[in-house]
Amino acid sequence: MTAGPPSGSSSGPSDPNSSPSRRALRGSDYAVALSTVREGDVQPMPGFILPHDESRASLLVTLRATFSSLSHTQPSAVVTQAYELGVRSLPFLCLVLAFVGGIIVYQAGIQAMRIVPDTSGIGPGYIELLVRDLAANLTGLMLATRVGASIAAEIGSMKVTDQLDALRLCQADPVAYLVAPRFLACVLVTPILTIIAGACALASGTLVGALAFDIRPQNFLDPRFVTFGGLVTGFLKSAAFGFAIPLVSAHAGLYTRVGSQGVGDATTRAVVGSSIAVIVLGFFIGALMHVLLGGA
Amino acid sequence: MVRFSGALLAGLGQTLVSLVRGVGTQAMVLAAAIGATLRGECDGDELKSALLRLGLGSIPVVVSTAVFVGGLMVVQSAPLLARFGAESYLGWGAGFGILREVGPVLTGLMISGRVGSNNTAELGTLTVTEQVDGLRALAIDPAGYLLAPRVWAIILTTLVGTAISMIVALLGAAAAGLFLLHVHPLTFYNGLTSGMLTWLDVLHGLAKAFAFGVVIATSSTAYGLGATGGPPGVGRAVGSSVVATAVLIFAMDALVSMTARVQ
Repeated sequence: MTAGPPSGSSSGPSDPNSSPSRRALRGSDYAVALSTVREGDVQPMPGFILPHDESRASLLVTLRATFSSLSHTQPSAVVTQAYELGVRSLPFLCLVLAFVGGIIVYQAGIQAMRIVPDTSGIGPGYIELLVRDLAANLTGLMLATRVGASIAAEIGSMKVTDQLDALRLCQADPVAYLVAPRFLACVLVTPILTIIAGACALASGTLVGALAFDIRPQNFLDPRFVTFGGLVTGFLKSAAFGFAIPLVSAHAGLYTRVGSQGVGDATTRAVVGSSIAVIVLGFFIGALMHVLLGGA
Repeated sequence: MVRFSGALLAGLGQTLVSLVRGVGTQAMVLAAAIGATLRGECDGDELKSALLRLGLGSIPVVVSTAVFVGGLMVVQSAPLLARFGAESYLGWGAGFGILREVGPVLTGLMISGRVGSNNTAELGTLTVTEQVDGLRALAIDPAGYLLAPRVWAIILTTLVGTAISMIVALLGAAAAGLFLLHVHPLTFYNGLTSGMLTWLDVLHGLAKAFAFGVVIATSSTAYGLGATGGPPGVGRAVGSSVVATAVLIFAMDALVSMTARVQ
């Protein structure tokens, strides 16, 4: 077996394994495989827009690739991702927002008692802060952690196990197949999650107000400070976060370095990058709305 | 709707169960780190390299976050100040939030994202490539060589990072107050030092930072050592580690806020 003559009757001087008949067989196999894929459920995808080499990669290129592949996204994939990223983050979001709501009302109550023993402004002020800033910012930060990590870990794992190349081989663009559904799902789901999580924070704040400071819920739940501008600010923020988080995280996942530490590093980059994006966007939208609404 | 709320309850239950299990593992990590240090087995070179890698590496993230956190606090309090015309209170309001609540929590979250997940990724990689077992085979105790240096480095990083971010966030708040609300920095400074904020508030924030540091260090280490299943497993471990750490940070925040009630 070690140095014996080649098993087939090779006529040419070339390597016996690449005899003409075998090569032809392989080629036709590929043709059959590709034709079944084309006819099957995988739709023709846009060209492979995303540069494979890292030197030309940037967030803008990923953004452009995502946008140009949005029309090819399957609605069922978006629904699946909305469940995976949205509904399954809900317990975590509700838990955190409820904690934070309780703490804030408690601290505000202590401060109010320190200066003037008047607790009537706590509820309305808290609701105003919640609508304009807190619900959107905190939900954004928590989604950056939970959703950012999961998107980067998933896509990054597929990158290091060569599954992205396998997708390309099947004529499926990784961006259209993996990134676009997650992006659409996040954009759709984030404002809804913000509202639900904000309601949790409101409930826990009301509870703490009633238990710790004897504020009656009908006095606490008084939306007299909530303005239309505040509502718009909160919505704009959550929309911007839903836009930025999947993009930053998917970018980190797509350019995972191959190696045993690659996926972990990509997840780190996704969490840090999308958290910073949330904080910076939150500040700029808040400042912009402040200037636009003429609060200065 | 019933099915949806059932799934929500089940998810909540799963989150709680995994949290309780995680806290138990973290207590064991902390005990192992303290034990190894008391026995004098904490590796000095590893501690130094962990401080350089994890500590210095996170300074840019902490500083850039803090600037915007300061600005965010000012933007948040702007309508309240406009309503009551209480611009002299801006320094106090922003300072209170930055020193006691938002500063420590956001710094903790960022350090958890940067340092904690880095730690999980490194330890997870060592675990799935069986290098931790390799250490044991060489008769090197992973507790002294891997655990203790990282745990102490992360706790120290969180403390120092929070102190730095408090200063930077206050500067950012003063700048945002000047440009957005036209509050003079001196007015801001006077509001900050008018006597309603004391060093106790700074201490309160640092106490939180210490608690967050312990949580970040132990939970990221525990999840890293528990990683299974190759590089994808490392990614999963990092994801669950940051999520669990975030929940624990807010739980600790509530705990410290409620117990350390300043009169």
